[in-house]
Amino acid sequence: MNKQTLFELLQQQGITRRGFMKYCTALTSLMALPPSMIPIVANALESARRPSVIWLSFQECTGCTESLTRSHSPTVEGLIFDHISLDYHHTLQAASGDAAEHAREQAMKDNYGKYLVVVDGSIPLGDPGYSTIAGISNLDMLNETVAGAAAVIAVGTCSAYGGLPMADPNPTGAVSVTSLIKDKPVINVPGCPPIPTVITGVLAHYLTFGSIPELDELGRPKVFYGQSIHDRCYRRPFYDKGLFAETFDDEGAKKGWCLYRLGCKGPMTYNACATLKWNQQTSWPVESGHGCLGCSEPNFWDAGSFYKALSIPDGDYAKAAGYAVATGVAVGAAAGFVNRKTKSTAVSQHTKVTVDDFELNKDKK
Amino acid sequence: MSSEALADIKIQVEAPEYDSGNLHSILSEIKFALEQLLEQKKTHSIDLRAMPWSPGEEDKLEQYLGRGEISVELNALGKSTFYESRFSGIWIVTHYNQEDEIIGKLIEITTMPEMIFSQYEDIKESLENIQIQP
Amino acid sequence: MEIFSTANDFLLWVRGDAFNIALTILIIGVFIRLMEIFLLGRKKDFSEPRGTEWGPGLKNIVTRSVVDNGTFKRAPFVVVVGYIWHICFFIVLLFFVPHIELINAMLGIKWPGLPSQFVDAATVIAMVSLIAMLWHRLTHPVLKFLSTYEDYLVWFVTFLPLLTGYIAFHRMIDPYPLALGLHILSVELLMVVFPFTKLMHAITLFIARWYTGAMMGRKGIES
Repeated sequence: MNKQTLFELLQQQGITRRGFMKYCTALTSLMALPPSMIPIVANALESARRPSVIWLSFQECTGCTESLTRSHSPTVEGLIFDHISLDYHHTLQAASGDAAEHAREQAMKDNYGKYLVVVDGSIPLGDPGYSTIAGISNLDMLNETVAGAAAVIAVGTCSAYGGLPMADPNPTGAVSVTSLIKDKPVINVPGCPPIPTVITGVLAHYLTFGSIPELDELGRPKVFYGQSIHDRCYRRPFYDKGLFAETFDDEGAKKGWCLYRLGCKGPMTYNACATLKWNQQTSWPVESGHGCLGCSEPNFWDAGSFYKALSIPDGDYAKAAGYAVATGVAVGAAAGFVNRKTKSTAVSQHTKVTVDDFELNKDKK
Repeated sequence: MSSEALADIKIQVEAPEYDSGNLHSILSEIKFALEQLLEQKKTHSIDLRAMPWSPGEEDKLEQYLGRGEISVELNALGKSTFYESRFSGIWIVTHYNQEDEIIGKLIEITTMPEMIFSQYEDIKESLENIQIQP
Repeated sequence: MEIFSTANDFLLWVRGDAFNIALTILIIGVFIRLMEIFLLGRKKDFSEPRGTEWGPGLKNIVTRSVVDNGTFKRAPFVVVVGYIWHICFFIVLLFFVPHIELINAMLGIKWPGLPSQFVDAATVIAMVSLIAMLWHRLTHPVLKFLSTYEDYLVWFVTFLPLLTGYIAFHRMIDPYPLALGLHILSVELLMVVFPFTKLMHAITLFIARWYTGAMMGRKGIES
């Protein structure tokens, strides 16, 4: 871990107190904390040290790294050089081959027990050959690297839940980080990709407070994943009024009505898109007229069509219903005939009662 | 991509013809904070980036608050602008990074944003650096 | 030991396999019951009747919805609360947009929905009227004596979807996939129980009313 505190580092760069306070303001906003926390963040940052970060990319598409490098506040350059010491990231680092692996081993040795491990991508258990780095299987590298880590951040849906590689039929036997790492704190930062400022926000939280933020039951930081898209959606009033777009180009769609009927998964998706938005807070999927896909939820690839309303069953119910009608008619007919038989038997066995049967003293006569 | 380049793209934002309630709640918060400032000298800040704005809503708020008598520009780690709205005591603060992207936007209910004052840490450094005979 | 590792897995199962199972049982059950009724048949009528069966039969389905004075005088509570319950229940079932979306997906028909605040109010009224009817059943000595376990089962499986729907709509259980999953599961329970209990009245009432109407519409002697 770097000996210098972040404050000292900023001072060396000739940054004034105002600059530092501005930095703290941006960081507080980034961490989704209220502005009243700015002095506390400033206080914590004065003594914060840059943590060493080792970034492992397994079965992934680099979309998460692409997202991170578009994190605008603070810039990724600032993030890498000022906030954290990114010691290993095989896509971003200049070194390659043995030198790269050596950087990882060195960082682990120097910061044993204190470094952060960021993982993007799932880990194949079916056949380790599906994904290796420098001849080391993903599972081995994960176990080896996490052994000396303070905490693990699983960035992206693949590392948090298994994601696309784990989708049915899961050819590589992919699993999530949480299903393998049980003895270290794991922070899940799901999304496909996660919102860039959420990735940096979580890193910033660790940097500032040296601790992991409060997590929900799926291991996600509550500040970013505490509320559903639906609850924070600006189109929510239309849902409540019963005004829905029914196609992507009807009058309702043009007027910006609720996208529930077009398959929006906002009600079941917990993420910060509605407030943090994307592309420098320009917009987000629902604002652009497309429903939420639910990309920050487990199994979202297998959760049925993106364009089917949440209340619609997902299975092949038409087929089930067809078989059921046939079976019902057949069994019903059989039961009906049994009933008729019973009835006709009863009728045939019926003997007429005459007055004589009621004569109590018949024998005495 | 800088924010100017983004602003250059000619897109038409259609403001929805309904009220999401965001403006109502934020103006209520501002009004309450202004009362507190007057009675107890308590300051308050609102992070505008934590609001689930609908398209065009943030602009509407800024238009309503308008511009008052004073504006200040700061240059530290990129530009920052401070200006008082047409309502005294309500300041709009925007922080940019070196690439001119917005990295923080707040409404401060105060007599003057803290950051505009000369900071004692910086004054101390000035004292060390100032020379009687330049 | 967890069967579902996440609430989403649970929701997926409820929307997938569980729904298919429930739907299969519902349809098989309903068809068995209907076939049994229809195959019982009616005795062949050798005499030529005057009048028709269909008109009076269909008319009776509608007219029997109006309460006759005698019934109202005997049991005003049951009539009034019964009406409130059924109207509110149908508002909730047929005019909540996610429900319409389900019906549209399954049957290909749709109609405009109602604002959710309205549906929400109807849900509360429906639940209150169900509770009132349970209270009535438990406090009325004759009703209580006549009630079997089936009556309480039917009350329970009818009440549950309303309660879980209310909870899901107001997001009172976290996370939401669990709340929604419980709601759908409770409906599936209702679907499974439906054909084998007096809930079947929702279908058989039309048959019974038609039959009564048809008999009354028939004029002439029967062989």
